Amino acid sequence: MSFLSQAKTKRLLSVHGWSGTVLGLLLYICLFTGAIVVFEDEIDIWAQGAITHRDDLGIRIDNDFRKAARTVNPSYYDEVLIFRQSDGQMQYRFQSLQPEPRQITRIVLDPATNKITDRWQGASTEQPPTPGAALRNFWVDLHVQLYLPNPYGLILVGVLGLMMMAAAISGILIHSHVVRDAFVAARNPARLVGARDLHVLAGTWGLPFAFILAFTGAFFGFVGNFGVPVMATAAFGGDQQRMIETLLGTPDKIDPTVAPMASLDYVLADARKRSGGTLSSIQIQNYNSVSSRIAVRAAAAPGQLSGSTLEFDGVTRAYLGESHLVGQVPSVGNSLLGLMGPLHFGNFAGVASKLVWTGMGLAMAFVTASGLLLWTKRRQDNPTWQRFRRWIMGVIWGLPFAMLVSALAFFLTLPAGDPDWWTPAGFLLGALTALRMGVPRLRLATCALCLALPLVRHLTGGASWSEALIAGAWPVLLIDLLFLIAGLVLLRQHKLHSQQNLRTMIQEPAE
Amino acid sequence: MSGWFVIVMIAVSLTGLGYLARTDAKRRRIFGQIALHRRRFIWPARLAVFGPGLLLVGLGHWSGLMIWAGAVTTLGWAMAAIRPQGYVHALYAADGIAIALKRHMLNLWDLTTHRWTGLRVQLSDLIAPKHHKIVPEEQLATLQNRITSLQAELDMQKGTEVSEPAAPALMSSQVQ
Repeated sequence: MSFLSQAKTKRLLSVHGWSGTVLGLLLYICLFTGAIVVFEDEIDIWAQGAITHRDDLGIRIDNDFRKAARTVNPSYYDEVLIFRQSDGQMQYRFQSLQPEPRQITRIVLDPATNKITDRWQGASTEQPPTPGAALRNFWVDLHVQLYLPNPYGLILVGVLGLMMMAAAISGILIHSHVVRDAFVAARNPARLVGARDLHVLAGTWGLPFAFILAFTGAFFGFVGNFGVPVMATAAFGGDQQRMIETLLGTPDKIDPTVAPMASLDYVLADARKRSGGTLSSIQIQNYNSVSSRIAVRAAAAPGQLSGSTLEFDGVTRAYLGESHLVGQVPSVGNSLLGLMGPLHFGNFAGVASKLVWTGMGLAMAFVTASGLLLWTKRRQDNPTWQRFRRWIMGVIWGLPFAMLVSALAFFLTLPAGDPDWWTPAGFLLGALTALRMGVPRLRLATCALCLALPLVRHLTGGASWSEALIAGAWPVLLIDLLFLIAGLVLLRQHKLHSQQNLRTMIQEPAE
Repeated sequence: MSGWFVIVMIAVSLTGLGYLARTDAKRRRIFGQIALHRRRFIWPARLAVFGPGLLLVGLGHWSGLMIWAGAVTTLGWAMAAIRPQGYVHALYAADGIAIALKRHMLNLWDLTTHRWTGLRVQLSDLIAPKHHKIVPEEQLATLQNRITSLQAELDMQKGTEVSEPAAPALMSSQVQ
């Protein structure tokens, strides 16, 4: 029983279908890559073959940090960021806030040997070379901004988020039997009604998370480029500085008098006791001065969704309280803002939440793909739509294939130190090849790459399974196993399809 | 307790969903299953589906709640997407994989003689297992009878002597 008239339902169906058709392929790319980069940290560890990774900052970091700080010009002491890289090394980033663009000195120190392994200096607008992270960076860029220049990519992804929400709402309105059809599997996927069943069923079950992922995605796409300027214009007459002061508070007056810093080890111990979670980074404002502040970022405590940031006085090491994203006191807005990240990235409970988020992302990608195929199946008499259908099939199967080719290019060029260029080039090459291959060959090629990548990773200098096991580097094993499982599933699918084709040929012999 | 507790909560919800899917009238009708004439316990099943979520809310276990919600919707979709016949096939496939695995374990010692061939065959069995259906003896006998009767019919058409049937009960009707 529908509360919409037939004409309105028909119009809504057109809106639902056309909006999906115009941007559906981009949405599919965004959703599929998003489902993969949920494991971005693990992918980074896996790609670098790092076996000494740790999530936590550690207990004793003060000595190493001071040693690194002594080698940096004090003009870079305005802001210091300390965190552990995915390969287990510590990164210290010193930066001067004036003049724009900010000047950065980046130091990487290996805690095992206490030696500085990398040093880079430049403007914040430049990208320091990070060959080991090229694969992660490329896949993340593909998801976050579809590898388009900033801000166009972010805006486009924001639009895709809004479109996904609109499609979810119009989908509910069109299909009024959501609850009644919740258990109706696809009758015959080869027929139109079966294709419709597939799309409706996946859309129905994925509905709650479609809203969550679309809303948070649109938020991240728009907040920087639209949200802040619009809010400043609407509420503060275009004065962004006044808006920042209202939301974040007036910054304390800086006293440049030099003062000895408190021990970071003590501050970390205190923060660990108060937060109950893993400590992921430290930010120091005005290092080595009387007005220095230390902010320690803690991951979500067990059972919670969002982490916290604890502030300490940099000289007296006194606890100043928890800092808020907006405002000076706890508020609903602040809590909701704090939930945006965990709800979008699914990183609040380690690998368990990441697996669930990956599953949901893939389910959403399936809804998009099945919707596109349904739309073209309805128009199977039209040759133009059938050409478009072949394109859709090429993108659906070609995206995973091209991503795997980019990973292969990354591993093959990593020893030469040039994967930053070759990783996207590999993707482009894979995408162009995919569009010329049929689905069966594409499936087989994807399967071969899935099975080959763990071996290629190892042969190009990555850690072996025994080394990873001994060091407890589970991400290396996890990603390798996921690739092998995906490869075996695809191989089985390929065999089943081949058998099916053979049966069809036997049943319908040529005249 | 956290991880296992959430897994148990997910399992309880999936059990409820499984019951609702199995007894869903529309699903049964569409896939040609006979209608259920016994009482359907909808509310206990719904309680099993949503109860764990409410419990997690009550306990303030927010990360567990999100994992539970995500896992139940994703696995619930997978559960609903498989047709009733699909479960039967899955059981056969699982049976086939179990048999292939058992054979693989037994043949592991024999790999020195047929190393590569053996391994390849076993791997191919694992990837695409053959359906090892258990055929009851009665069914075998019926098939045997049918073959014999067809043979007899063919012989009669050719004008040759009719061969003796293996099972007279079934053959008598065929000959007449």
